[in-house]
Amino acid sequence: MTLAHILRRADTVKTIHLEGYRADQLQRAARFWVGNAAAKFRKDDSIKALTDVLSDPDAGQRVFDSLSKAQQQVVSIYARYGPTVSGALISAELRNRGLIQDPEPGKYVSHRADVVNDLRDKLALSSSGSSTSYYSSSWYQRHYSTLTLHPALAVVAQPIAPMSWKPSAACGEVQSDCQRSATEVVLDLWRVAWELVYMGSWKTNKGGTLTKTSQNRLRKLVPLDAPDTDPMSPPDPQSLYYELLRGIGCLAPYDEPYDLRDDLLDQHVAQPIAMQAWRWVRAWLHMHLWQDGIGVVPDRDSQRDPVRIEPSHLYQARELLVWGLCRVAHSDDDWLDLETFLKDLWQATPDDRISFYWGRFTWDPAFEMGRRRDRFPSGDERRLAFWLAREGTWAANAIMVTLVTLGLVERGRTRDKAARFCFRLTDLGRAVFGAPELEMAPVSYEPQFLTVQPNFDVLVYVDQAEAARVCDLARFAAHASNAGGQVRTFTLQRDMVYGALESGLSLDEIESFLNRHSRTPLPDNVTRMLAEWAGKRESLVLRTDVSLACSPDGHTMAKGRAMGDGMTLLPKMSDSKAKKDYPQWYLVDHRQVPQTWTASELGLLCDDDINSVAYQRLSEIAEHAKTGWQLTPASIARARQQGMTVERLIDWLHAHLSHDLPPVLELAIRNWTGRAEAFAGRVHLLQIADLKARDAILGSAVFEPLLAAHIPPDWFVVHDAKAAEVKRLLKTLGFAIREAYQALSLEASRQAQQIERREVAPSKRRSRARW
Amino acid sequence: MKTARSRLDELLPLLQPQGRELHINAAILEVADMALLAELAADAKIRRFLLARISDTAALVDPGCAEALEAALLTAGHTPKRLQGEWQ
Repeated sequence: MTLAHILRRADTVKTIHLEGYRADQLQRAARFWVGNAAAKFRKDDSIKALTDVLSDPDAGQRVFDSLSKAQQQVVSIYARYGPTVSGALISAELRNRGLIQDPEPGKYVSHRADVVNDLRDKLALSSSGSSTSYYSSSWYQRHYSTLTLHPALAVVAQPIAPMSWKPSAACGEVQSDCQRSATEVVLDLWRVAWELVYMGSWKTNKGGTLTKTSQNRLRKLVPLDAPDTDPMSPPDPQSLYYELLRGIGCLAPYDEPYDLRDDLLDQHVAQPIAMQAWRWVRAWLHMHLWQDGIGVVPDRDSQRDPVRIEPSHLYQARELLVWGLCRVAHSDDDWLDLETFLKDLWQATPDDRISFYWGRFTWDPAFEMGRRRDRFPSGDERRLAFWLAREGTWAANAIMVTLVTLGLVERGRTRDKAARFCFRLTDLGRAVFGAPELEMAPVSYEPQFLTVQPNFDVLVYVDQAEAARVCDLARFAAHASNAGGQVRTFTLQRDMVYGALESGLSLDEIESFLNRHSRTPLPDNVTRMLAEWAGKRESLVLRTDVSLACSPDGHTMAKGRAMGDGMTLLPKMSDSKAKKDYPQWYLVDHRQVPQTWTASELGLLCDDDINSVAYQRLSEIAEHAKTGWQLTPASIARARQQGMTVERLIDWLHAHLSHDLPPVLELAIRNWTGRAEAFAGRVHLLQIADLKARDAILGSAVFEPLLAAHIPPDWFVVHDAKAAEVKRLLKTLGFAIREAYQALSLEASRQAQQIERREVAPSKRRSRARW
Repeated sequence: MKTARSRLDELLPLLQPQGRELHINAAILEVADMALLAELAADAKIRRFLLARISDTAALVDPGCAEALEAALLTAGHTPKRLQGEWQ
């Protein structure tokens, strides 16, 4: 499979919007495309002529042949990366192929003299967005906008040959530090994906990133983080993989993912490893909520208080970095000194540089030139030194951390005393960045890449294993550790095997997989245990969405499966089919039980249209009564002994009752389960209706030891032993002691309660609105 | 001494159809032997999701509780095989 260029845009352009151009612009373009006959064309004529060109199969070749050599090269560059190419990328290409030069000091370059602008005037290149100034002088940098090659030229132009990379300084002898196999990357991606599934649900922030809580959960489930002492480990690695999964379309929907598309993940993992890596890099190019050397960032920008690298700047930075790495892929397979590479990249992209405002990264390579940046006089050297300390550090994090994590770059250090940071592309990286010219040689994987031990551990040699096969293993064995570099330990566990069997694997498939890929015979105890686990699953079967015919006369049906006396299991059927095929049978739909019960406040339940579901439920929670069923404290206690919860019992009542559940009955059910307590007995009460007198007694030191409590608004509970003393004291103080108390009737109390609620409600609304 | 069936009758009585009934969208739990069903019925956290027995080795799941029953079985260390719409 030949990969497309990693920077090639997927868009195809079939038309150009000509209406927005002026008549003179269109006439000039028409003369270029159809000849001098267009010199007298009006706007409509020019549009027609230029539109006809799109359907003329020879027009593209004719025009291409008429272009100058430099123009043909420009068109071929667009054919390599396009048809649409960003301004930064085209600037870098033109500059490094010698197709544009800086004007002499103090002089401007005319608009027409610029090879891109000339093609743009002729509509061989066009902009779909807003036009960008394309001036050029010795004082200003050259900028191009994103331009698209004319569809007729895109068909005929051959992509230009790739450029190689020549470092300005050679790299010394290098000791490799870190190289990850592609299988390790796939396995990490796979684990993050499936742990998201096992999490069940996860919360996302604006933009679709994981919330802090979800990140922490995922971190616990998939511990990918290196020890704190390793600054060259990626920040928030789980989120890096999460964003990769989003980028390759395995999490849906993109903006607010809540679902893993396991079918797409399976398809992805089944692809050749170079294709998988190519898709990771494409996802990384557009990944703006996980940033190299920073980690997860919020989806917002602020000029005053930046919280991330602005996404369009980051995309341009990654695009230019990848452009450099593509050139590296077409060079000798030598180690590159990191600082030298970045300096060379800076020199190679003078027009549109990697440029943004951010300076805090998890790994600081402390470039020599960057450290001494304040010592340089103003000029290019000083600019480069500051660039190395900021954008250069980002690029270092991208190369030495992110791309190493993705298995595309191998990092090392020189063996000399300076121990300078170096890197080179892995075979995978060379295939991805060198596409389409370079292809990865077919990899021969070791068929026996694991060892099953009697303690149920499975040792996997990931450097020798095909990624898809390790993912197959991860379906039924838990990843235990990644200690030991290229050896990963998995463990055969009952719940994992069960999960695999539930997802459709059979015991035979699991055993044959282990036998096929194991370097040693499968231990007997492992074989036995696998069979036992599978057998246990077979001994307990939960069938859903089935139909059951129940007949009290013991009749079973011939076309179903007899289950017991009068019970026949039938296939799933719809409500309408059931009514049609079994017209004489009482239909009980388990998704919607009939609401045929009535209940009194005292718990008397009646059901005129009883069925076995209702009967079983009633017999579980109530006792037979003369006129139906009676809920009693004893029946509720019995139900609770059998595992019934109060909430479930009340849910049943709500489901079956043809009316609202009486509140008093609900209260009683809750009380019978011992939740609420009440006191009923004799107490001495003192009522002081006069508010002033009540307040005086409330604040009295003489009354305090005699009173047990105050019941607002005007009642006091008197200590039993002090009742006589209180009476005496009241008489002494001049109170007239009445024998009858004053109290509101229950109806008056309810009305007062309703008035109180109405008065309180508006103030609650106000308080909510305020806060 | 109680027989296994009488114990099972106490823990999980047989379904009492009130006439000819056809249950649709139902869920059934089938086990290998009566002892296992008795073991499950004796566990209150599982019993609460079983409506009644339909044979010595099968129970009708309380309507709407198949998911909860599966979760309860897994929590209790069982590994039920789940089949949707398969009746044979």
